[in-house]
Amino acid sequence: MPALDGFYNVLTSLTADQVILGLLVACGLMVVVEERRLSLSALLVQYLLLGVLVGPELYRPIVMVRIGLGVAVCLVLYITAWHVETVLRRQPVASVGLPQAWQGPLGPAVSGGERAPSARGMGALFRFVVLVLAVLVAYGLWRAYPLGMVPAAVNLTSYLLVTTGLLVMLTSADPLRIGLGVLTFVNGFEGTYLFLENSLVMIALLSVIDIVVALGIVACAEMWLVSLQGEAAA
Amino acid sequence: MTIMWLVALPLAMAIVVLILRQIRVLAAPLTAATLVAMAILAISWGGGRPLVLMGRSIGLAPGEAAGLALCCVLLAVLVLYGYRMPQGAAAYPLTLAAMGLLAAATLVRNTTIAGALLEIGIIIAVLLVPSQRPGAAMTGMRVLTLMALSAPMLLLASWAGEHLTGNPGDMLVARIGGLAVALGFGLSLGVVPFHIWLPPVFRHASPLAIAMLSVVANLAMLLYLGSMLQVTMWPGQQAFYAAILLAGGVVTAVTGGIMAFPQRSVHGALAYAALADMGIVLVGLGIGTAVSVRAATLHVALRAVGIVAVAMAAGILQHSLDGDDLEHLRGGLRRAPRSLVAMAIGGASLAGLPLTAGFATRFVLYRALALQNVPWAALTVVASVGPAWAFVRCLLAAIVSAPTSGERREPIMPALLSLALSLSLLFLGIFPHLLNVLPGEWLALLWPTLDGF
Repeated sequence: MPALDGFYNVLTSLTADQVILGLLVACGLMVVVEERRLSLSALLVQYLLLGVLVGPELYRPIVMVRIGLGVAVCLVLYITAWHVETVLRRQPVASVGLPQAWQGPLGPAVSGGERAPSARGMGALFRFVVLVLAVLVAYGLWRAYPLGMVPAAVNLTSYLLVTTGLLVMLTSADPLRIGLGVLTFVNGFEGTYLFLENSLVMIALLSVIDIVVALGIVACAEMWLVSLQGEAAA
Repeated sequence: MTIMWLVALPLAMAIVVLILRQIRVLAAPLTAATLVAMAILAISWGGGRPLVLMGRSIGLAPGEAAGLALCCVLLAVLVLYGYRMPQGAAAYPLTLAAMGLLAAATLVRNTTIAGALLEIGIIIAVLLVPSQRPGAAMTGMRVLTLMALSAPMLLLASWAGEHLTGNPGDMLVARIGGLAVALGFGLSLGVVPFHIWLPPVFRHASPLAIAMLSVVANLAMLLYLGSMLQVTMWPGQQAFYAAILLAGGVVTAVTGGIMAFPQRSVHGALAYAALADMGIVLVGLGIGTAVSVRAATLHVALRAVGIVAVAMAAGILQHSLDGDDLEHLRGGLRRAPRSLVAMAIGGASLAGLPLTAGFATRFVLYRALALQNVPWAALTVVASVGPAWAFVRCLLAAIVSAPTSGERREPIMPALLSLALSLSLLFLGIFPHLLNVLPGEWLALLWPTLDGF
């Protein structure tokens, strides 16, 4: 497949610094901008760049499979996000203040019939400041606990993705955005772990974990939507 | 290769049941039969010679086989219960798939692969939680998030163990490994302060999901903990693990007991009673004598039966009375007598009241704890009043003569199943010597004794 090979060659021509910068921008977009396409694009960029970073350690077809897996996960999430947005847009404005679009906080999360406080108060500036803090924490962790058996760039990237993932989880109120945080966290861990343990069985099992987590996010998001509709109807 | 059927059978049947899931009259018996077959396979193969498959050792100790069989039987009872009390469209195939993976995690001796299989199984079990009920989807998402956080911890701990076998003395990796073990198991077992996911599951999820996450997954996780405790990461680690288990167990038991006190519903009382009971199990493992570890092993099994019995009863009460809080329970004895009796006996066993099975093992563990630390033992005993009071309060509300809120009578078969499980706990409480009839190898030590350190 020459097209795939060409694409892979373009990716592998990036230097480690460029990859880290790209991941930093992607993480920033995911945290600061709550727009659906940008958030999912950021996740897709993560999968691509992480594939490039761990590429030298793995057999090339396996890297391609892992990147393909990332694309599939993003596609599944995109379909769900599109469905959620479409349904929410059809809701009448008066129906208990349901949000009209997925971008921005998806409205208050339903918890036991009670509404959790909206994340709307967390403006872009606040999220940007928190992101800067998370990047500093990641840098501090990297300096304090460098793993000798992992390349420095991969180690830093992992810390960055883990802290960003936790940040997205903590500042989100709807299943899809929380899910993006979970996948970012898992990506960060896998970046380092694939250097520590790269047997085929473990790579396969990690991929299954990715798929199962993505399916869980989709199931929760769809059921969340149904329960919101039920509440609106009531 | 008979043992591989323990994994292949549920995974294959999950596909069949997925196709037939709308025809409940076929799907439920097929699922229950598969689970019973798994129980028989586990018991008949347990203790057999380990196999080597693709260079990996596969085996099943008799105690592990007994634990797996108990889980399968309890799930089969819940599936039959679910025939009249629907648990969700995909509940049966998800249960089988999760059981297949958890069985695989128990069989595989390599801790890294076992950890990954365990996490996949648990995440599939989490898929049982989201439903159309308000709050269930967000509860599912929270549990998924915490389980996804615990997966890397367990894999990291396992890697650290393997790394330190070849490179002893790498203190950074040892520290990472110790921290990962504490965080990974704390999150997965719902030990205080990582218990936040547990009460919402009892509140919003179906009895099948409750059983999968608080009984089956916990048991599989405890068996995995047994394997991890045998991996040496640094000198003196056993003392560290004993202290962590003991302190975590006491804090969990006391917090669960105190939090149970103000609960005004059956599911609330059950959630915190189950939490406190997990604390008691950890106390037994942390004390680490042969007697306390055996008592903890038995307590895990009795806890499992108690949780399933009360969860089933709570489900029936919600169905018949439109709720299981004190307001809805008023006068409920006339409408759901069997379920209320099942709730009372199962709850009493979970709280460790005398004449129930839970008392016998709790008594042994209280005594063992008192030998180590009297104030902690006293605190744990006093805190156990909380779950007992919560269940008694629910029972008192139900026996009041008042008009009931619900219209439906309790379904007979599910109520009888719940009652049968509870009566078995009462029977074992009155005749505890019957536990001696169990084969000795079932109670053989699955966890290392930590007291010698």
